[in-house]
Amino acid sequence: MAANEFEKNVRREMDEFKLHPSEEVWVKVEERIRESRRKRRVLFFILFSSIGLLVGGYVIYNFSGNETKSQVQNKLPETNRSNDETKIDNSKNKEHNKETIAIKPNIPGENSAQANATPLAPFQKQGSRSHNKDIHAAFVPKRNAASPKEGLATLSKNQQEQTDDVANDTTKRESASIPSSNQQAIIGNNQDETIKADHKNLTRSDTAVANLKPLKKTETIQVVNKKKVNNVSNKIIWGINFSAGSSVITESAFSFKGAYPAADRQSNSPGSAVGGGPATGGGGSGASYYYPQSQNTPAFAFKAGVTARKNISKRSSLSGGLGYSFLADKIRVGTTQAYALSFAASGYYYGSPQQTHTDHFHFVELPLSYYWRVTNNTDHFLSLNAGISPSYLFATNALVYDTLMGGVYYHNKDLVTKAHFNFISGISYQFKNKKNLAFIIGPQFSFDVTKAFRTDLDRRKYFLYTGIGANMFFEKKKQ
Amino acid sequence: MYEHFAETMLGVCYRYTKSIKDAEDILQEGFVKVFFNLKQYRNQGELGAWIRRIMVTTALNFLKRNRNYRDQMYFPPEHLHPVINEDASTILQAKELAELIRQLPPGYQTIFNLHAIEGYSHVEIGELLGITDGTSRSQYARARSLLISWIQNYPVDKKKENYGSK
Repeated sequence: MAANEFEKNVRREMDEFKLHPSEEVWVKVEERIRESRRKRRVLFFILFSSIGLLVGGYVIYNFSGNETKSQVQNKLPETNRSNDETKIDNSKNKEHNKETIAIKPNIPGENSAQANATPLAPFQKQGSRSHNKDIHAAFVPKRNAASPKEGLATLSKNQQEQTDDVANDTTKRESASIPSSNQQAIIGNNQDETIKADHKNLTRSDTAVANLKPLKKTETIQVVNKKKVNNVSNKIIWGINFSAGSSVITESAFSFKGAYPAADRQSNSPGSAVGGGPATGGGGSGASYYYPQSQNTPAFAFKAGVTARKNISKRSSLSGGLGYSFLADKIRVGTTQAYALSFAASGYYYGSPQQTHTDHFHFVELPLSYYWRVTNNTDHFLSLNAGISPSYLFATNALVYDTLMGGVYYHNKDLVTKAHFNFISGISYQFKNKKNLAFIIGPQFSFDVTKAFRTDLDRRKYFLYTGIGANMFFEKKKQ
Repeated sequence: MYEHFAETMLGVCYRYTKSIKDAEDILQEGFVKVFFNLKQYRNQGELGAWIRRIMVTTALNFLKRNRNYRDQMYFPPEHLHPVINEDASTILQAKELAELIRQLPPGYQTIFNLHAIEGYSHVEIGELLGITDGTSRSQYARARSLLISWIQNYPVDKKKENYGSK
């Protein structure tokens, strides 16, 4: 039993044993926590960026090629696609017929005898480049050709354009059979790799030209090169935007945690208040009062403005505009002192925190963003955006912290930075309604890299804004 | 929370180390763990006991990691004085007792802290330190005897002073 008594006594004594840690311990704890959170944010950022890049790369790699193919297939006439002889056979001929096109018309014998009469330079060129010995081509002249000669000339142009278009295409196509009455075929079918047109056939009658119209619609094969197709509207689209969320002034980058007062403990004099309240310094005459800077908390904020957007490629666009930005944050301050300090004409706030003050900041800004469409669908899609936004502070009621008299807050606009520079980014979903109004909705993020206050006494440094943004663009109807 | 528990927890850390600086390092690391794992504390048991367990675990990891302590954890045989008064601890204040505990060899010190003060069983101590429970028992017995002898040999005037202060 005596043995147990010893342990009990020791335990009892040790339970009462306390030591006062130095102030550095808490400061280090705070730093470690902040550092760990920062690392965690960086890791998350890298992780999500990597995932985004992988997904984006996968989407681009796999679907951008299919889109071109589907465009080609869509442009092929139904009659051609339904005909077994005119099926596009990519798999067989891809490797052997690079930079060539072989279009085989079923031409009756009477026309084929005259088919080599008129050589066509563009196709000779094309043919000479090709290693394929079996090239057949059938093209029709331009629909509005007034005469056979014009038709022929137009034909040559058409062929030139189409030849250029298909120069980079690796698909081999076989056309549908073309009736002899409508024959405007150019046949290249010999070892010299030249393609010739039946000029006589073209000039035989005007009716032949007239008969070309339905051909153009139904039997012309249009090989569309991806690089040549450019459905991107180059017009500037105007719109309005609105975004609502919350803002705060952070001490560290990309953190929604406001400036924390604990670091102020280092400057506490012994026996003074910790955490904001007054305290006596051990009851002696040398009592000191210390009111550390308040931790600031997020407050409602919003942005609004006009935006102009211009497509710069099929997937990307630039957006710029002029906007108004209202940012705010909340702090706890002491009671209002009526009499003014020499540098703060409108009085100041002093004492233990008793009321909440909301700092308002009014900015005018010029955001410039780059949008990149992630998904394929052009009517409704996800896009990522990033950009910059210089802004100018034109009004504020912000309180500035000063260690004077143990810690006071006062108004002094001269200590608030006017010119700011922000980085903006976000994810948005875009869709259109029937009236051709395009809507873009999604979370938006803005981080100010300019120090909010010019004084070093105020630890609040950077504006951070997150919110849900909505843009509405007025697109003109397609003709 | 820090303000409420920091002093007590520093007392815990202090008993496992040889210097106040090491104790503060453990306290710092322990509180970082506490803040990061606060969600894991679901009001099951006393918060102080939960924090204390974290501190003890952190202290043990510190001892294993730190060469100055790790090299002295082999429990050297000590000449033990005969035990006369089992209640010797009552004549010392907490601070003196803690100082005496800290003067034990690191191996003894750790096992004594874990068993006598934290209440761990020898089996648990064996698992924590990677030793057998028999080793833990024998080392604890030696530590205990050594500590009691030191308490008995503690200067009489200081003992009286301590009584007077009580």
